[in-house]
Amino acid sequence: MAELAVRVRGLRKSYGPLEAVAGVDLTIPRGEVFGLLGPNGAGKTTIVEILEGQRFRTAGEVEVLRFDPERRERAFRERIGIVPQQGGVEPTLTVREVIALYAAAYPRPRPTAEVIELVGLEEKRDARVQTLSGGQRRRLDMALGIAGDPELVFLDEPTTGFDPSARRRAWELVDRLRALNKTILLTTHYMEEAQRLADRVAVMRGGRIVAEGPPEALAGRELAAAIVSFRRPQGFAPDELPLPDGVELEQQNGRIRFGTETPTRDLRPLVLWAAEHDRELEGLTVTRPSLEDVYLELTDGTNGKES
Amino acid sequence: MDGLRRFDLSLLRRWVQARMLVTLRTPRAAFFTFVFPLLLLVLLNATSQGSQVEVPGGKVDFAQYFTPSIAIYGLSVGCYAMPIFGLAGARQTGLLKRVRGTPLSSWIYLTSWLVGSTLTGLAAALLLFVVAVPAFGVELFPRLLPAAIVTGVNDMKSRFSCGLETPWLVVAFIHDGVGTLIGPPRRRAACARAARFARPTVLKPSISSPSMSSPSRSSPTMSNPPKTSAMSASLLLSSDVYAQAKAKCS
Repeated sequence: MAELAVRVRGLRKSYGPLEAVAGVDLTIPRGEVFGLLGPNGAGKTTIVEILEGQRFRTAGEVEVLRFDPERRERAFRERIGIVPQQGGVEPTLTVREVIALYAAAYPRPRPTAEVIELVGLEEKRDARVQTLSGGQRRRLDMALGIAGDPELVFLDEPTTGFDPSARRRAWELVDRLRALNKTILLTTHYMEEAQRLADRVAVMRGGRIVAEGPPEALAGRELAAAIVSFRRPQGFAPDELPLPDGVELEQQNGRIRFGTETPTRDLRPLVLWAAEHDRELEGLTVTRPSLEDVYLELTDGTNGKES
Repeated sequence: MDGLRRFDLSLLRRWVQARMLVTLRTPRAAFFTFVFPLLLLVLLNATSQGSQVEVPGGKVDFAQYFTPSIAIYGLSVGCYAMPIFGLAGARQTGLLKRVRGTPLSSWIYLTSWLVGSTLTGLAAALLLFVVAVPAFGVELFPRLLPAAIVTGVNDMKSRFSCGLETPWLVVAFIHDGVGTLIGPPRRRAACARAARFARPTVLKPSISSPSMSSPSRSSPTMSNPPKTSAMSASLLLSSDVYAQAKAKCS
């Protein structure tokens, strides 16, 4: 079994009568990109901050890189990098000055120029932090998180406020960190991001993990029925089409939809029929439930609190 | 161990430099630390040119008396207002959280505030004298300088402690900073210790505000020695006669 970067057993965190984290078990092997998903208030940030050593746990066992984060040993902090959800930066220093300042606290920091290049802030290297846009500030946050060349990086909603191209660059950065065998714990509200980046994800609700696994297989997603959909060919009624027996057809706005667990077998006669009749099955799609569908189902479309 | 200390000292030096740079680049902080004392000096001297202030043992020129008071004001802004607003702002904006996520020790961060504020305050005071000596004929008495420095340093230390002890800030910082180092069961005890440590400093008479009221009303008498750092500094720096008077008194 791969060496673990994070091991959590029975983690609980209470604020008076409110239980923000209600018994979480979690393991993250070294080199894995792990995504923590959940609605606001589900307990994601609380868990991340406990793992970072920023908060005390109420109960449970936590081991991060073989350290107890609560003890906040310097050797531990030298090996982690954090990108907090809201982290201030000295506003009147320049990008280069801030990165160099924070990197100096680490024993083996990355060169400042390399960090700036990694996050794509080359043009802003001499700009003061207060002049950066929201997305540029977030990139600076990421730069500060990786400046010390950490083994484990906590990315708490790292791409919030990014435009699409900045988000792509951030993803590429995560890919590069993954290639360097860094372990990454990522929280995000973007399912596409989790799908694209994470090796495994966990969905939280009400302080508990309600599902865990690879994004493509979360909650049996890979085994769920595929949905076939296409525009009904003009001049043909549905019962004239070679549709599989026993399926429940849905018709809406001229489209036909049905679910099947054997899409290849069920589509074959339909495609052959279209070819024989020289017809195009317009708008033909075969989809399985997206990560977002599964996520919404698991979280019941609610906020993080149990109802 | 030596290596570690050198590393820490180098880090401290970097953070002090950054702290001073931040002050210089923050218009409001730079104005109230460097420009405002100079404005006060010019305005007060313009309105009271030629007048004298009575102090124990004789009279001194207005500029001679008030320049050190204004210098102490500059130190106060540097060592009291800056940490209060700066650290509170740092917590508010999440800067403390970020710092705590790095290997930087809490003591280095806090000391950078202390040293940075002290150096900034001293620079402000120095700037004031650089202007006041040639422009308003303020005299310096080298043999009294060590005593004035001690007074100034004591004032800075007290004001910095006071700045840190602003109650909510201390509770917040102890809770967030030191608390994590010593573990939850001892956090409350740490808060209590911090309060015990800091309170006497706040109550020290030497940190009351520099008096800008009429010199005749604020001047100390022989039987009632000066209690504020501002006045102490004023008298120590400005009045050779005060030293003689005090010697007689003792």
